[in-house]
Amino acid sequence: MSGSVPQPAEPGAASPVDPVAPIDRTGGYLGPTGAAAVVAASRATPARWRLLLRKATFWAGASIVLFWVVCAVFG
Amino acid sequence: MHWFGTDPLGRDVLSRVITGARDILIITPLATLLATVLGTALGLAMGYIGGWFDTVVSRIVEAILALPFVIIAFLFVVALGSTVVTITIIIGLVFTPLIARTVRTAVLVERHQDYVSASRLLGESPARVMFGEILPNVMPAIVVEFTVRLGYAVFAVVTLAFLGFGIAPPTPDWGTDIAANYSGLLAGYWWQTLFPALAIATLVTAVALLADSIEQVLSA
Repeated sequence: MSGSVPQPAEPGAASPVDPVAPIDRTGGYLGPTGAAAVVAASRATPARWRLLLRKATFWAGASIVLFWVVCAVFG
Repeated sequence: MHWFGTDPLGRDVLSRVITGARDILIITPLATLLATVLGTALGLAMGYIGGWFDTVVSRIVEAILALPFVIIAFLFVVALGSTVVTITIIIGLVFTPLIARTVRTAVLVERHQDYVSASRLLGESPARVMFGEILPNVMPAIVVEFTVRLGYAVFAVVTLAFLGFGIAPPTPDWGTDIAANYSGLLAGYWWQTLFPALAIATLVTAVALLADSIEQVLSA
């Protein structure tokens, strides 16, 4: 039995079954695997930046920098 | 009421700490942005063109990096004067080779990828391949380098100010204030030095936290 273990998907990753099969630049049909790859690639960067918003260190650093920016602007 | 006390001239330390953030937060991002733009262009050219161009520019970059930052900065400040614009340009130029070296390393990995070969075969110009194809793929490394250099730029600005080559007094500046008042530490006037130093420490720590979180996310 060759059961492949499903890997956990990243936030924002494409669904394996895409209802709209995209076509490539030349008009050729990409197929289900190609379609998923295209959608995943197009969503990869926003997913990364969403991960950043979940990091406590990012919010701590941003808060302190924002404090000094406010001081510089309104001080 | 003076929450942070006053300096020997009777000026409020809290006000000077708050106002002192202004020049640092103007110079630091602009200088780092300048260094990133120049360093990225140079690094892309070095990595993509390669050959004798890469060899010659790499040796020049290494020669510049062998010199201490302070020495180079002193030369430029003495020659050009210490204004916000000149200090921004000096720090930007001094950091350019550092960023160029990082970008070059990233480009050397990318230039052998299939998509670069495909772009060449399609007849795209070298500039189009560098900036349209390779640049987006090395952008994470550039973003991380930018945030890391931002922290170093804060130190650079403060170092120049501390050594007397920063923004001229009486404009409030953290480094200048520390330089003017640190001799009072032994006499017990600790607040004149402590609060500007804390301001520097918090800003550098904050930038380091940002850089660390961005690096973790982009390398995931």
